[in-house]
Amino acid sequence: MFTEALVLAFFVIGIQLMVPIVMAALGEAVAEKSGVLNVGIEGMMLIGAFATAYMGITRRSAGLGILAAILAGCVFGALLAFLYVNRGTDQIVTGLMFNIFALGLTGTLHSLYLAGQNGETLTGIVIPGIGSIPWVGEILNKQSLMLYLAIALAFGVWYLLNKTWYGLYARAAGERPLAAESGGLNVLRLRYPAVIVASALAALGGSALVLATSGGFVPGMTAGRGFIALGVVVLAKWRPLWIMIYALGFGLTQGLQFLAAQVPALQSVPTQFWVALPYLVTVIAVVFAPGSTYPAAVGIPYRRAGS
Amino acid sequence: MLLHGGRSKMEEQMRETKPRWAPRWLLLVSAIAMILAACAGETADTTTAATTAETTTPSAETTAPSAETTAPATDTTEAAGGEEYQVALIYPGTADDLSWSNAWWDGAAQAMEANPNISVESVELLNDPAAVVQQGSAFASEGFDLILIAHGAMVEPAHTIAEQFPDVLVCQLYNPAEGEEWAPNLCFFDIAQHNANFMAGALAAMVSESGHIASLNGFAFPALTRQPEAFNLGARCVTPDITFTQQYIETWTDTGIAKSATQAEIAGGADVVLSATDSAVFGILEGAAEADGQVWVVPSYYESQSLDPDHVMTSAIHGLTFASKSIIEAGAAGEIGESAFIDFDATNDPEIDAPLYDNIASMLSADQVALYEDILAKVRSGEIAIPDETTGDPTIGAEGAGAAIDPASIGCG
Repeated sequence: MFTEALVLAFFVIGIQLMVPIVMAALGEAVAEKSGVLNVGIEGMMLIGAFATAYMGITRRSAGLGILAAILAGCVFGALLAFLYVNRGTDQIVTGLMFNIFALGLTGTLHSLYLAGQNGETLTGIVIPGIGSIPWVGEILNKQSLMLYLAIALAFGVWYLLNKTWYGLYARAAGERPLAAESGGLNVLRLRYPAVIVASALAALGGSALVLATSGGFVPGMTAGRGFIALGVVVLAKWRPLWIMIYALGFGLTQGLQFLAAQVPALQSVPTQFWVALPYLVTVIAVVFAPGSTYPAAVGIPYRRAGS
Repeated sequence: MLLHGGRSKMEEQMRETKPRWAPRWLLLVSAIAMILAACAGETADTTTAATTAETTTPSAETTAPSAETTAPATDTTEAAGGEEYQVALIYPGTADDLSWSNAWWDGAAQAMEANPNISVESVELLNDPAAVVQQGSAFASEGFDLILIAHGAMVEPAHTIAEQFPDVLVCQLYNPAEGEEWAPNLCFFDIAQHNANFMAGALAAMVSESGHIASLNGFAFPALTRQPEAFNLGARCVTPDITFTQQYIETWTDTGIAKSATQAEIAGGADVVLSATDSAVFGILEGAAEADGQVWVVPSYYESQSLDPDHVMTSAIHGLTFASKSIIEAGAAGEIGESAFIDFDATNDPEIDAPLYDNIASMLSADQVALYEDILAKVRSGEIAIPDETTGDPTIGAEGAGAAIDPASIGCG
């Protein structure tokens, strides 16, 4: 029934599915902590995925693909920051429009330059010592560099938000922007880098998706992962290390559908139930998560007094 | 100190800071992006058509083969001599996805190449029924002659468009039940895609070393469900007790999900995996490539060996290109009658195939190759009568139906 190979595959799959969501959610946590609700992360993931696929196909380099995703995330993040922060546009409308824009843009560019081509991928790497541990090693040996990058980023974002002056000021801008301004801080300048970093991380999530599959780009391939990341951030209460745990929970729940198909006793359960389960769990958890209160100023465009 | 501003005053001030500048130019940018996306199909036209001319076999027939298609044409479907015949082709993927939509576009490109008076505009990535109605209606209101919907799950939208525009011919992929009636300007067509899957299943049974084959399917609706069921039936035609598992992964494009599903199937023992989905096949191929042992993949719809020669066992080529070209040309020639049903299968669509690649042939014995060729010949002659979702007892329109059929009862053995 539950063979060793199946159980191992379940964890391998769950971790693989976790990685892009962790990266996108970490970025979202930074943006929201600074007071910007960046609904455009789905589109940013698509842009990152396209950039990675483009470099992987044209330059045959996964490393350049990762860098291209970060760069693309920064460029489009600056555009979003300009809209969110400088222009004070409605953040939900702008984010949703950006998602449509990204879908159209990447779909067009894909048709022009990448159609039917596969690029570089990242295969599993063996960590000395860990790789030989029974079960743990077998699961981790199947994971690529992006998993370890995601873990490092989680610690990095935790450090950024909790141990640096920028994190303190950005959180102030996300909670009480007027008070922060009164204290001599420039809220707009604090939110700008937050949106750019958030976008770069979301683009990195898209990059991870490409590098874990064929190295090619498929229009719409993020398939709602950006929106899942939005939910994960709330569940984790904007805590970077908890984001990893909740994203893993989502990945494992999603992996259940594949496990269920292999277990005769579970095959009578409709597939749709397994497919819907992770989303159902996420929605329920978001609704009932105790104490999940957004930063006070999140989503509210800020204008300096007198401007 | 920074965190202790007066809340009510702060909120008041925040309300005052609501955006004075509506995101109008963002709307403009998005609109431009959408237009670019819409143009993508046209941009792909030239490249795809050029490739097609070299890689696909020119079809011998130019009209749809079914008797119903030769019925007298209505005024609504016939293009006047020399006038441009405008076709809107709607599909779920992209014109260059090396899969379902690519095959449809290739047929349209061939039709345009062979008939200068035919012009085709494609709409890509349409999977929402409401969007199909919107797009189809827009083309119909612009005077297009034929709305060709290459998406099996859009029967209701096709009915809606046909009712709204009785002077426009609407053709929809659908296999109607006996006695079913529909509007005069609505034409249904069916391609026995599962014929190719049956062929691929027979080959999979010969190639599989574990005796366990699998299928990863997009969504469960009869026109798709018959594909994995026929794959299983074809395999059982060769090895009656073969193990077959399948999953509906509820996506056409999510390569990450497809890869995960593939890994689960491999962990369960499968060493041949049918892809009954669309661009997500790239994830299936990656899952196979990362497997510890040799795992083969059967992509559907399109000739796909070049994607990964080391892991593509065969391609279940559904004959979509031939069907696309035939329907468009029949429409332009006014040969599609009222309430027509056009039926394509392996007996009249020469492109339906599961080719035996050289590297696979070298793995098989001479007897196996002969058996495979015999099965192909019997399918093409109709000697093996593969049921579909409406014909056969039982039909194969429901999950698991293929396992309930005795292969000998349809002509195997």
